Amino acid sequence: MSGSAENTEVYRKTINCFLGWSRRNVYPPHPNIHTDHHFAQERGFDSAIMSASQVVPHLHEALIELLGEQIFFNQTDVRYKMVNPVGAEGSITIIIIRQSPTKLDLKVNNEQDKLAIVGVATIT
Amino acid sequence: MEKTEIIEGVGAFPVGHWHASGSTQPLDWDKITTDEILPTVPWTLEQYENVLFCFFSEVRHDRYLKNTLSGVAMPVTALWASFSHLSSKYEVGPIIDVEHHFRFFRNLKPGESTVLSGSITAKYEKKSHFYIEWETKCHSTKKEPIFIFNHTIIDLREAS
Repeated sequence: MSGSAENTEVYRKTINCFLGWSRRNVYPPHPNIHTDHHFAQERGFDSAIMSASQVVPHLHEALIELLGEQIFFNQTDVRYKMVNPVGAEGSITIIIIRQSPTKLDLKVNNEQDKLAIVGVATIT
Repeated sequence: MEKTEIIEGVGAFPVGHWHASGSTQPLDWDKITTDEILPTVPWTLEQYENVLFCFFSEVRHDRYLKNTLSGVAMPVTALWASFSHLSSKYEVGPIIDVEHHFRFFRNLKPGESTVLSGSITAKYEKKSHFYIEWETKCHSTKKEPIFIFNHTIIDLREAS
């Protein structure tokens, strides 16, 4: 992990959003919040949203890039909440802040800089 | 909004839903119970599925694309395994993914035989949303732990 000071931003990367959930996927059946704007709007979203399963792999990759495969797959406890939806347009920014040698704060912000995912990774 | 016609069966994409079957029952939040044991089920992530998850997530890294025994499963496959594990007992309707809490003990290798086990760990209502939490443990057929995944969702069927 680069840097040594505590409370230091050690990772930042912006990726483009996308909507890649097939309407023919078995689950959830179409229409759903990932395939149908109207269905999503009825449930309080602005439009169809990215699936968490498409967003979080980029957070996982950030941690692997930062920690290395050996530590990520053997010593790391990862916990995060999806607090706001990620739309299909625009971008997200993954930010990792080191709070201590064994604790990393995880954030994913949407294009409006609003928190979409927040969590912590603890190296045990 | 105009709906797009879908040709039934064309391109149907069952990857990631290894444990759904005709014998599963619809998920009923009222009837589900904390500490309820979920079925212990076999699970093998094939390498072609691992590559599909890369494509699906727009992630590309050589570690996931090796067609050899030294390959590595994407971490997100644990999330899919968790969901599939719940689906081994319940037919899940529309949900919102709320929280993931996981830890790997070693990387999962595509093609290896594993076993999933676990239980419902909590259910509660908050702000008119109906939450379910469950835990899925993945271990090798030699009982070597591979990962543990704690999953929280909101059941949208109850809220709608």
